Amino acid sequence: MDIQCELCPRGCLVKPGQSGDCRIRVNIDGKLLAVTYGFPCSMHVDPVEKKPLFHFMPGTKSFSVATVGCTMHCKNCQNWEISQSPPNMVDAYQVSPDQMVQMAKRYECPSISYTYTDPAAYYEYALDCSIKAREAGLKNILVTAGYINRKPFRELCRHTDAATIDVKAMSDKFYRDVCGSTLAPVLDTVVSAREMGLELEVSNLVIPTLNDSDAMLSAFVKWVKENIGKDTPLHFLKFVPYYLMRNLPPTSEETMGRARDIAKAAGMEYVYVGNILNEKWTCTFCPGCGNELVRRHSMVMMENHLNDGKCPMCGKKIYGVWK
Amino acid sequence: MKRRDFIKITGLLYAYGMIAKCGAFATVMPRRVIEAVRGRFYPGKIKKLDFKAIGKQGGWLG
Repeated sequence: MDIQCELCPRGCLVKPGQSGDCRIRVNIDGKLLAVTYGFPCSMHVDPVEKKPLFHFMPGTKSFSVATVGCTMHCKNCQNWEISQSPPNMVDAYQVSPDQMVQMAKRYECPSISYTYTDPAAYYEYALDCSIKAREAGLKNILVTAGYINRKPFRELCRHTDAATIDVKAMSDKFYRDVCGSTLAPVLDTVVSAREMGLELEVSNLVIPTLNDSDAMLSAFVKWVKENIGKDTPLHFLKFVPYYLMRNLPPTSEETMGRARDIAKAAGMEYVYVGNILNEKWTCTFCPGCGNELVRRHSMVMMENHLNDGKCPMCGKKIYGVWK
Repeated sequence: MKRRDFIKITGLLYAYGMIAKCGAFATVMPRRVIEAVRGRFYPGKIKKLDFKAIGKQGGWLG
């Protein structure tokens, strides 16, 4: 019996013995089974700033996990060795959700990040780990491209505390040509995350000639401001040639500065630039008085002047979870 | 028929039966699924927990 997968907008019709587009869910005896459940291929202890997540428990470590596979197939994927490989090609650990929580505690991490590939791809595992982590008093963080249906995403959000969602470009053509997916479900995921009360940050990888025009950057900033608010932290990330897009050069510092300027001019309050060593572009400034609140060097927090989540100079409340 | 011939023919029939059975199974399910359903589902290799490597920052982005 064929089964239709309802996890991501692709809606694969999976024949018996076959897998869907993600190569993870296999139709075995009329049931869809995720072959990567309980088998993370990567586990590391990262600073939470690396996700990137600048307004959520800054300066803490996050136990970061991933299994093989992704719901998208971006030609520029930076982790393509694990995101675009079939499960039989990548070695994995065997770790149950309970063991995952124990390991996070062992390394004194107050949170678990579902990252590197995409938690949408290992949804069942991320969900079970999140539930166990919550019970143990740990926070959960999603780092995702947001290509997932609304219903399963909202269920996952119930057990999640913070999310970084990567919006690739404000163009459906870009999503179809570069990522093999569509834009609308991603935007819906971003709105859902905010509605579900997650501490939300949005990132955008700026790729030369593909999504670095003023019009494209302005459209992205305008959409974020109008739909999820000007207090949403924005991260513009520098593109580095990887995987199937090695024909393009890395994004220049000038272009990254231009993206930041466009967002600032549009009224966005917290704008950051990633993958570039420029301290001014990774610090948090008070949108009220301009005072430097959090100083970071690359992905490490150096100073935090916030007073109970407020600016010590003007008292303005700064968006985020600061404890 | 001698006893020895009987064992030989039975053995050959059994071997042919096994080959036919496995062949039929292979046409229904791809190899990776056969490997997936065997044992612990994961079709790739299982690696040992390396607590030293896990405790370090990951090389992957994100």
